Amino acid sequence: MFEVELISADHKDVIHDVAFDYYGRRMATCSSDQTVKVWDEDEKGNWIESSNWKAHSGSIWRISWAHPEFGQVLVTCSFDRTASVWEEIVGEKVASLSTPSRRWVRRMTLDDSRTSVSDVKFAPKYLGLMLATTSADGIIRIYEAPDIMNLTQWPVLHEIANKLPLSCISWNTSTYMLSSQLLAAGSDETATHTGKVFIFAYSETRKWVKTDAINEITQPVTDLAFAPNPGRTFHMLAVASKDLYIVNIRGVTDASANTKLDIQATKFSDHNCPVWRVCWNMLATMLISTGDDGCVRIWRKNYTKDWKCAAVIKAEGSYPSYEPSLNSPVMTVSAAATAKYYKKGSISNPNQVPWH
Amino acid sequence: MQNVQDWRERGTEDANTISMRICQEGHANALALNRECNQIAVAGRSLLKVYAIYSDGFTEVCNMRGGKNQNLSYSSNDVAWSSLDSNILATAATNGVVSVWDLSRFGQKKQLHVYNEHERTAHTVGFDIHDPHILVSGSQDGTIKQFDIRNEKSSYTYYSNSESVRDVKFSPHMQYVISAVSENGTVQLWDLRKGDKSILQFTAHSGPVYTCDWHPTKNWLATGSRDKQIKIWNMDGKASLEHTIHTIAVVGRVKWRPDRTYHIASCALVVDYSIHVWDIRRPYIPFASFNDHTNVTTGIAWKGDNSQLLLSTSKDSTIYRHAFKDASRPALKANAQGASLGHRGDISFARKIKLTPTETITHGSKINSFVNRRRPTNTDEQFHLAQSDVCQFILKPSYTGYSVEEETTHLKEHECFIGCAKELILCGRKLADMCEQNAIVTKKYGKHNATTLWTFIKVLYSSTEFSKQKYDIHRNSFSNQKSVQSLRRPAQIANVHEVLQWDSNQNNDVASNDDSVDNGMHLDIDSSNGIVGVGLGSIKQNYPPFGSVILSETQILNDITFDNFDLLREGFIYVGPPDFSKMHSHQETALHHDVQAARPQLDLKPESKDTPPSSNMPSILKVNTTPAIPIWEPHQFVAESIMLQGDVGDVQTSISILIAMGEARKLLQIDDALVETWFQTYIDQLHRYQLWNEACKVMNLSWLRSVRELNQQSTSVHTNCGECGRPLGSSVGWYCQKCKSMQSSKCSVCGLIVRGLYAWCQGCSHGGHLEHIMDYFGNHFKCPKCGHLCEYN
Repeated sequence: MFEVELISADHKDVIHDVAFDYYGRRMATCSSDQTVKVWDEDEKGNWIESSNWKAHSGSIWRISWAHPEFGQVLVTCSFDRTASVWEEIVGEKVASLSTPSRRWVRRMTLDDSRTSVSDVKFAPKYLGLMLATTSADGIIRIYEAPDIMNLTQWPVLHEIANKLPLSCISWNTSTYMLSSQLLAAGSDETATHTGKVFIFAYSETRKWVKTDAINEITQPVTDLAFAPNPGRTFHMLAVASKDLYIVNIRGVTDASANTKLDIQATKFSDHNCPVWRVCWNMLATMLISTGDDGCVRIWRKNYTKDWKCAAVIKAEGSYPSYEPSLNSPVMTVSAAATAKYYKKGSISNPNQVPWH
Repeated sequence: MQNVQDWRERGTEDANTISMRICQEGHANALALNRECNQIAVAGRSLLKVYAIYSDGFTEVCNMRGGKNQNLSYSSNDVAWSSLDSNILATAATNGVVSVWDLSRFGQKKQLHVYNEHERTAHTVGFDIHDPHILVSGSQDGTIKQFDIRNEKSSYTYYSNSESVRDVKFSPHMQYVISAVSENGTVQLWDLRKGDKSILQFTAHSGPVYTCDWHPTKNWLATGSRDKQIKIWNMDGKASLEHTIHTIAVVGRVKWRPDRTYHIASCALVVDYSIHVWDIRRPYIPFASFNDHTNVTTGIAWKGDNSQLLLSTSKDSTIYRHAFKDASRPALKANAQGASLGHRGDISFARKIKLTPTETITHGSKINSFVNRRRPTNTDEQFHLAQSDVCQFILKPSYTGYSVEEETTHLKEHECFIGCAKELILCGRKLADMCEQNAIVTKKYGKHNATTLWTFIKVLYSSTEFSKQKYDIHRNSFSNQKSVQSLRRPAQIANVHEVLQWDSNQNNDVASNDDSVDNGMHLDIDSSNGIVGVGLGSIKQNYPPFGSVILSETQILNDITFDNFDLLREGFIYVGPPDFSKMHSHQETALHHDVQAARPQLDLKPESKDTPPSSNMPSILKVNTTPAIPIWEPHQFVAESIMLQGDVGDVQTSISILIAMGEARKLLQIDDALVETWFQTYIDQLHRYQLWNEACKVMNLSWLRSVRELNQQSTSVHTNCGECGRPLGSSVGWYCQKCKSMQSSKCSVCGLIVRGLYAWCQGCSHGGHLEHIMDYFGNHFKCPKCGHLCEYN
């Protein structure tokens, strides 16, 4: 069961992304109102806004935390055609009891894009301090901070041009059973009916090469995510499009010792509405996807190794009151805000009806 | 007005975006529409042309820049069309000249007047809406001039007291009133009849204001500035700020959209080539964007009061007529939701709470309950109602039904993980002891599969030889079990089956294929044999028929915290042979023959099927009862079990077992690359839960160099002398060679040399006994020695 707690985020426009940090103790939100907010969890589990600043001059689409080994570092990307790298500075504390002052400082503006930067993601830690951006003109840029102590230097390592505008990107988190690092990018282009998800591999020639397009997915893609791989022989990619797709990617070596990817996409239409976001848990045993209707679906593997929707959650009645006096930072919603569950799927054989 | 009507009737024809290249060299700086809005004047550095607008394109009507007239007076910054006479045009030139043109004349005579009065560039020119003979211009010299086009000289000069007047606009609401915006960020209102002083002046922006536009119906003035903002001022009485729009680039022009009170179009002076249409109530994201131009857009105009057509000129030397339906809608493309999954099982979910039009259709009733207003029909009307909330779905303690002991029932998945990480014993004891202990630990946390595995490991590996005798013991331990199903199937050696089976004694409705189960020997694993005890008495519940309940990795059952009902219907996670039914039928056959009979396939390796899934669940262990086989090699099977455990996400158990097994793990054939991945995953998990000591222990116990070395990175601490501040790198201990002192080794609180734990500040290099420092910083926050603001947390 889930309890629903409503956080009055108090952003002035739509929130486009929410991200937990590595430890799950901090949360960052970014919004069209051009601000970023960072939330810290207190001992009681309440989320307290610790920082809030105007980060861009356009809508902020995505936000991503770097591995804490690199410090408290965030990256944001925006409609204003830039991505920015932020670092938290902890000042000296003023009095013995007060907590040290914290503020976020812009370390770098990545302004190479000439169109809206639609997504930004830090690379897995073993690659160093590296990030990838996608932009509406279809260019993937990979930046690296060669000196992790100096976040003001981010040379572009690679630029990968694509014909279609891109909306999202994901790094594969492991190269287990693969010959190279993979990147996946999705396009939200609506006019054509070609494949909208592309797989890029880092080739031996030190170039990123587009190896595959997933032709099953022709609808605009809004989000995609590689599952963490704790040692599976294949890799999983969740894709949010008009429906949810889970794509299994396996590295295979053919007779002539060429490695290629064997890709199988499975479609899940349970949402019955466009899917906006996908997110894996740490071990890839669970996937959540969010639909346009405001439902969050929780997916787990069933016995045939297929993914099945295990639960649907929707917080109803949890709309914030518009009374300004109630704008306390965290508002616990009473009985009205209990999570609702919807049962999906049918059981045809009466023998299969479970007993309790 | 008749024309406007006509367009609306011909709406379908006009509804396409059309474009035309207007010149080869130079670029357009401004455009103006005539009163009927069927002709467009385009002005630029070497360009002054009039085009007729047709539904399918533009046709050149008149070119006022012949080859010979190349003087600066023709290089225009702005163009204006008389509000009455469609033949009268005015231009403002870069050299300050304001010209009036009469299109009805020919050749040179077209140029009706040349007012060469401004000392510097004229930026803007405009006709009075109320009196078509009156023309005003604004210039870089800081003046505004009024002309009557019937006269040869300007009628009046207004001094703005600023360096430069960038834009001048007649108010549609008050005759004689003009607004003028300047590079110093101010807005002035002038009454043309009172030339000495502006009637209102205020600072609107922190940077130069480049443009302004009066709202067609409300008494609002929009201003656009280099500070990338568009501001909407209510000009009733004293100007008050109504709205601020943040754009991504310096604002070059703004234009209110006809028929839409809250819409305004803007284009940028640099960087951004798009034209954005904003809803001023949603000041962060454009309502619509036209992205057709390939260089900066310099002029925009709505086609009369047709809100669906927008004309624009650009430095890319093209004119466009944009149809609104072709505009891109950035807000619709934008992800309206965000979700993140914490590794404590919590979901953070941000979604748009006010509706997009589609939501209105789907959930209209629900929405109306909280936004109490009429259901909107116009999608444009909905646009500004955008806000998100953040829901935190907090995982409640796990489902209680599967746990044996009460005290574990309120644990969440991650608490089980953390508990196991802390309590599992990985080294230093006999394997049998460790396994036993770990079985108890995992049982305590409800990880029954892990318990079973540990128990198996104990049984199989605690003795060094894997002899027949060993196997017999193993087998005997099952001998008096209530039921045993036999299963022999070479193809399935590779799989571990965990099958929760319907207990047919409890239910007569079992599917027919379960009949065999009745005949089969049921296995009741009792505690005495070292396997998790499952009292038959606990099997009180009814369970679904065999084919549908597939059991499940108990840990996952445990951490699925959703409604059990849902779970049983479709949440079960089973990892086993892909073709379960096939296996089952095989089993049946076997049973029908003779369970205990010697089988013809004596050559087969026997394999054991573990496992009672969880203690209060009826469990059928599929174990082969086979004729004695000389030596049972369990390694393959154990390796598979461990890999299975990893596959289902319980890397913790896999890696712990491998560590605990010590050298015996070499018997298992598990790929080193896989083990390394497991190690990395497990260490990463421990780090996420901030279990540094446990992670370190795992690294130390690793037999893979790459993992062990993780512990040896960045392990040195660099210290400075407390006296002189030099690094102590080259010296021995705390002795500083520079100032020949051992000062750094002394406690700054008590002055004695520190032995044991030494806490010191990296900032000032002073420190002392840990407990002294702790005491001290309980009351102080500055260094006892030097007053440095040490950070001691």
